[in-house]
Amino acid sequence: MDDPGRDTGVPPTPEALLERVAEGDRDAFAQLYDMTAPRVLGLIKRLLKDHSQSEEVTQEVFLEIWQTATRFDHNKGGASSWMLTMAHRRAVDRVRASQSSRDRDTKIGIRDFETDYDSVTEQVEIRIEHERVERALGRLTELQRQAVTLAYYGGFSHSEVSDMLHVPIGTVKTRLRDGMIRLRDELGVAS
Amino acid sequence: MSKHSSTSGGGPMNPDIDTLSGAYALNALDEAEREAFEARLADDPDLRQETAELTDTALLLGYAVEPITPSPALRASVLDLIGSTPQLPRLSAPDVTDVAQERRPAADAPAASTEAEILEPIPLARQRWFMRPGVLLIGAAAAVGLFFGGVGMANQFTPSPSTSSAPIAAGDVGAILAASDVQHTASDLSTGGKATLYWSNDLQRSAVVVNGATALPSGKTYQLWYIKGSDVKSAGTMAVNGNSVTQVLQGDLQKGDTVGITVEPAGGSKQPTSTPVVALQSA
Repeated sequence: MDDPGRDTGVPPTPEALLERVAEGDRDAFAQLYDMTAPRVLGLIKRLLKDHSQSEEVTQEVFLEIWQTATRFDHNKGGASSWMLTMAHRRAVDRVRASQSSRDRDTKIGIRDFETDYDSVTEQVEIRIEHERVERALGRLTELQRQAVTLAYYGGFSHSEVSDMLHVPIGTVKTRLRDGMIRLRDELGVAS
Repeated sequence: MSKHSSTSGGGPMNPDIDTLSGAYALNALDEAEREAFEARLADDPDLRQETAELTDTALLLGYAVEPITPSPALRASVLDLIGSTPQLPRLSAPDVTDVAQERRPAADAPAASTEAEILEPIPLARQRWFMRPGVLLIGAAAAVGLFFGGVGMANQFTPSPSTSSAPIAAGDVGAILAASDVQHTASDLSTGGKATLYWSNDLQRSAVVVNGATALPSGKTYQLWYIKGSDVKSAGTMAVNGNSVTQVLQGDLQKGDTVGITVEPAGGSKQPTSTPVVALQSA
């Protein structure tokens, strides 16, 4: 963080790049884009399915990153987390704004939103992350797992999850909470 | 495990709302519930801690998703767009200290209501050329709308600062983008390209950023219009010389105005003479 990575041989961190982006450095932005866009698009497309819509939202996210890099505070978390959180948020916004895609998604049904671990990734780190999350999700009850995956990977609100799973909304709320607490403990998250 | 023992100045326990931490972390609450939950967070350090942890946990679900390489066209488009997109000014002093405050909607950003409003078509009773069915492009604009007044989910998303020391100069696109109440919406032009309207009701100004619009023959020009009901005012002509054009509209924006772009004879027209290639509705 002290050295923004301009003259060193090692690749700069996303945080260092974001710091330069905040100064209006477009080369740094391009590097940051190359480093993070696949993750951003991957997450957005997980929710939206449609590729061209997903690229549109990805573009919006990166424009927002450009505009708001000046407000990024690395004391509050990493740059990748900031960007991925923004991506999820914008994907959810798009899903909720688009009634037709909602209808389509509801027809597709729940199965499609469950995590798909069959797809082979060549990137070891991501594979490890996949497996860790898969194991942790496997420790949840069926209802917890369905509720969490519908909410996060489907972008559904808890009331929609309630409709889809045919359980009372209060139950969905508690299952989302105790499911996430279980995941937190399985994944060893502490802040 | 977090237990809401409501000690050390925390607010009284509220079991119903406190169960929303999971849904909040997963971004599964509606607007009203999110606000209520955030207000609750401010009172309860334990709940705040739990929510921060669950938010981090949700991120791991995101990191587990397989990356997808975007098309080269997207990269080119994004890198091109930032050339015409000003950045927000830095905050001089962070005035927010906890999750709840950071996530609260800015009081001066009317974001909560804009999405719904923008989705509403102009009443058909007030139809003119720019409102006829088939000409209404507002739905498409809303579908790609992205609202900066909206509050982000991560700790990083600070509300628009009312203390922003943006220069307020009419005709300055930077001032519009830096306005605390700036909003934007985007739509494709029927003739190719994409237009994004940025507006600030506080400044009563708006600007369009047009990318990839078709160049016009020498006898034609693009013209911008402020449209309010049956009242249509020219907001100036717009030359498209390159791939990206940013232009501040002439005249004052009134809240809820629709901005239309038409193709007119060179020099512009007093009133539109053709069907708009795009209509963007402010809120």
